[in-house]
Amino acid sequence: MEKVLQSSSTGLYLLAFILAWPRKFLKLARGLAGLGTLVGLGYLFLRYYRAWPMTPMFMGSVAVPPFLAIFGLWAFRSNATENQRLGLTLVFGLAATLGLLSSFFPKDFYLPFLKTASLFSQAHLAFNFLGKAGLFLAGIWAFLSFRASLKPISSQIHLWLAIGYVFWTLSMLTGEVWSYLGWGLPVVWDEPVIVCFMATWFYYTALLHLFVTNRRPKTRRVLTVAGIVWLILFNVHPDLGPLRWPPTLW
Amino acid sequence: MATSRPNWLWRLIRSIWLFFGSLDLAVYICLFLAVDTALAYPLIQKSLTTFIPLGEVGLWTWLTSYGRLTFSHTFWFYGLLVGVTFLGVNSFVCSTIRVWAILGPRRKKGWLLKLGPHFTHYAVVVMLLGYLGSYTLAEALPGRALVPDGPPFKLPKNLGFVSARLEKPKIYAGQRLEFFDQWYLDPGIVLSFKKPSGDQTFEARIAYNQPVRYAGYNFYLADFYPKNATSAGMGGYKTIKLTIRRDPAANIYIAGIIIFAVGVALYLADLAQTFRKRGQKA
Repeated sequence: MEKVLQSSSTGLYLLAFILAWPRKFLKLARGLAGLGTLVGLGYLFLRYYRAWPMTPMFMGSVAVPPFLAIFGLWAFRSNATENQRLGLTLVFGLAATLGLLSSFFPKDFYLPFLKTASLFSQAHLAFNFLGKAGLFLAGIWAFLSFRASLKPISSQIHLWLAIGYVFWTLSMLTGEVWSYLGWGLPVVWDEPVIVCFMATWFYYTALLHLFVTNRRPKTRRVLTVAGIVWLILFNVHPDLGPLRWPPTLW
Repeated sequence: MATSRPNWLWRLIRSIWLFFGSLDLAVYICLFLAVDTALAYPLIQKSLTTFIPLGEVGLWTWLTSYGRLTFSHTFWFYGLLVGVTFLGVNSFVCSTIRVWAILGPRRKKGWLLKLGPHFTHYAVVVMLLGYLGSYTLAEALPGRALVPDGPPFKLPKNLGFVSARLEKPKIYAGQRLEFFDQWYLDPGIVLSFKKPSGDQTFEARIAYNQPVRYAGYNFYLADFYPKNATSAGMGGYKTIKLTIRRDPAANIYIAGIIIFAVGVALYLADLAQTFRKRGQKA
């Protein structure tokens, strides 16, 4: 059942991505993406329902698309400009890509472990989805800034960077508290995923400081777009399994 | 008299202070740390076991033994230590310069919200000091196994004895995940502490993520057998494995986390106000 929901959600995002290119189908694309988001949230609900009170494992790529779509549908809610349409198209495309990655490289067969039955573990994961979605959206805004006047977009990049960074930081802090309560240590160094988490935090800390200096606008934008690749390499990739061909779609 | 101070020394101190207070330096340090920790991702996967003792033997011992002997896999950790030291100094100096300007004689309205980022910077310094203290001063006792209703074991430094008994467990309900059917989520372990004289001091329930504190030591549930309410455990024995740690610096990094959270809240409030003002202008 979970697999059907996840595949359907990905399919709907893919369809929305294709339909969003011609302007006349934009409303339909929004509707399909909205439906995909509902189906994706249903998938998340089932994963949580089965694992509760433990935390479901390896959700880094499968759980982000619905949150990315919610943020994207809100951020690009106006149909007025070409930038808004393109932004929305990229959001649907990225959501579909993450969904496809999870279908071709699944890791959802791992069972949760008992120590994840903690409010801090749950919060750590939830903040992680929101943080990742916010940072992806900042990257999309930065991409748009290369083909439009920078000024109004720059504040949007900064806003979504700040939103993503705050959630990412909250995820890191709740993770530290969980680690302290569960293992007696703030950082468990033999877990590569944790250093990837730190790497991304340092990357975006550098980027936010670069925004504060208000200099090197082009470098800032390039680094924000590169953040999408960084996130996929260091924070989506660890949650992917080996290639499964043909993919299990149901 | 100001003239008695050697000018060159004053200028040197000032330029060092300004160098460490630079935002550009913060950017370079953070980018260095991002690349350094990103390199660690494949390296840790190659030598997982090298990093496991880090929490047990302490930072210095680890650096001079495990770390040094497997340097090709652990060099990034030395880089991380150097990087975070610079980051700590940079955060402190950078924020002190700006806090001085915010709280100085030309203080503006809404100054409190402007302190948000500086709270987070000071929190980073506090957390880094806490981590340093934790990895250098913490004491980890060798792992202990207890049998419920079995003999107690003696705590170090003549602190007394600890034994365990079982109460009503909490079990994974239903068959939502078939594998976990009838598994203990919380086996219902109660630790009893007794003074060396034999007088009982207190009892507390221990579970995963729910440590018990006694005489400055934290007792963590590391593992337990049997896992399943329908099985008898390894060889029919019920066993509880404990990790015992004394971490005098834990309160420091927890204080850092709280200060950081306050700083983030102030920063968000300031950001919301800025965007509201921009919206009104538009």
